[in-house]
Amino acid sequence: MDVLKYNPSNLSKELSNKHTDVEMVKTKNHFSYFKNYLGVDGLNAKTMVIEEEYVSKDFLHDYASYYAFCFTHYHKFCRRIHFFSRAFTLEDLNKAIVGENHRLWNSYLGFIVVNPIPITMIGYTVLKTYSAGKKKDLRKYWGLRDYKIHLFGKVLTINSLAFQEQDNVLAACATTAIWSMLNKASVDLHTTLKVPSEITKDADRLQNDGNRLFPNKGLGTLQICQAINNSGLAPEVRTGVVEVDKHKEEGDYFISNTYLKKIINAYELIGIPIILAIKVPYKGAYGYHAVAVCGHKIADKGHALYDIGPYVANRIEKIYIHDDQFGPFARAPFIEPNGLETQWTLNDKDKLPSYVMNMVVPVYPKIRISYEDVEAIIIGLHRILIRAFKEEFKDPLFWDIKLNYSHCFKAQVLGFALEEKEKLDIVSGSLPKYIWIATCYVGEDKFMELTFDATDVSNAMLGKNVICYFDTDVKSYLKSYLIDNKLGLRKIFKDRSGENYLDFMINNL
Amino acid sequence: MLFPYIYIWYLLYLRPNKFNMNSINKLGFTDILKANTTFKSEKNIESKKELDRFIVSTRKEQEDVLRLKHLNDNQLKVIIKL
Repeated sequence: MDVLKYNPSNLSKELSNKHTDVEMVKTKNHFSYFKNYLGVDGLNAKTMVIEEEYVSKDFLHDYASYYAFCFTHYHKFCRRIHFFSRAFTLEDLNKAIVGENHRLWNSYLGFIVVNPIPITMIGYTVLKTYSAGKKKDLRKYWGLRDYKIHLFGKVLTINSLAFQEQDNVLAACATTAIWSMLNKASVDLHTTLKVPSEITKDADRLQNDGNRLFPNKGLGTLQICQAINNSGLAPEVRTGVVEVDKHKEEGDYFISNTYLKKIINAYELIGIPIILAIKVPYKGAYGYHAVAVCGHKIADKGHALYDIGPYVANRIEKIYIHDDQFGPFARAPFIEPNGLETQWTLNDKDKLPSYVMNMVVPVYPKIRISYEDVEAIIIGLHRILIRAFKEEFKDPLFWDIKLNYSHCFKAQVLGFALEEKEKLDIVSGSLPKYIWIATCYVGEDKFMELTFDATDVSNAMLGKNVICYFDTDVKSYLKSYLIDNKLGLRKIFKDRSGENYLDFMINNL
Repeated sequence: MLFPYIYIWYLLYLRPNKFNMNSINKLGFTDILKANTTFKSEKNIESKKELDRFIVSTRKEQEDVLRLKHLNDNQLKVIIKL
């Protein structure tokens, strides 16, 4: 055990190992990233505590699968660097270890494990987010979980998402993105958290070009999905449909900013990080990379809220990604109209944007209704409302469509501005475990809330609840409009469930 | 001088559904519609031709959204290796 003052020089020394010297550490993107993240503009670390001979489960598995069979003598133990925002000495730490409730522990920021391998030595890392502890923040880190960290007999808890660098042998970027995602998803007992070598083995038996699986050179989207499926989750895949106009290559399309924002907003409450396959500027060309999205930041109120379309998701201005080539919670602001400003963009001399080529949304298998199915229904309802009120709304009508657990929704209902009877009817009713909730606003006022079964088949009538925040006059007008025009409007909803959706609205108004 | 206090009082206790979530005042026509607009619950059947046109444009918008689920096979072949 050692206690050091935090500074970039000490950080680079402690990140180095027998196979990677300090100068090499300083050339790594990770070093630059951590220097900023832990520096005065970031977590403002003051002290580092060094724990030698640390046994990292993740590295031990990889060691047993590969490194133990190398002729070179690789050590199986790691070094763990702990960071604190308070300045203290070894003597202070000793007192805190044997004492109780020492305030030094409240300043814990997390740790980085240094694996004893060449170059790619950033191992299991758990660091606090920027907004930890702040009451009001526009940042939403929805892909986090609690980690219990055992240090010198103390148990410290941090809300974060684990990160590590690919080692280019047992794991490529996609493997580490899946590994980070599983760290969160495995909080649910049906999902298995695996180490990187197991994830790569789950993806396939050979590489796409017929080469042996290890050393691994990368995964395709189908292999990513296979690995996700083998961990107990269901992958929902989307590919790009918008053509890349600059630096166009045959067959290259990207996912639009608007669509990506909607998906992130839709799945945030379930909290499983989303895997993005992105095209990033690299050495004068473009390369393919995988990252895990674990949060986003929304723009200040009023910032182009209604201008871009009828969805709350439009307010998302940047995403936070675990990029194994840089670090955890890397900012990626949206470049309008399309593209992302990733760390790769910032490192590129021409500052070329990054594009999302494919995305994989891992969900629990019982969630069978996708976002698009619900948005199609909402488009119908949105247009009916606009038409019924002859476009006379004072403020624009806009929607927030989210997947959520029904028990969370019921807990929220108790705080809604509803009559006691309405609340009791909703919370005492039976609902599936997962529901889609579409909330309609007129300006900033909540106008209506609809819930849909997320576990059914898409051809069925999915509607479960209609909660109205408007008075009897508005309600009876809307109801009579729907009844009068039921015959003409039923075709607005897809397939044969159209009439049922209108009945669902009429009966619940 | 009293205006800010009156406005805060209005926001907290009168304006429905915004700051005071426990208020059960519901939105009426005057809250949601442009000034002097109101609607009555009387027979209001739209012409079939108008509605059909409306449905065609809505269905197109819905299909555009549902088409996002169609996958591009070429994109799936890309190996992600950086």
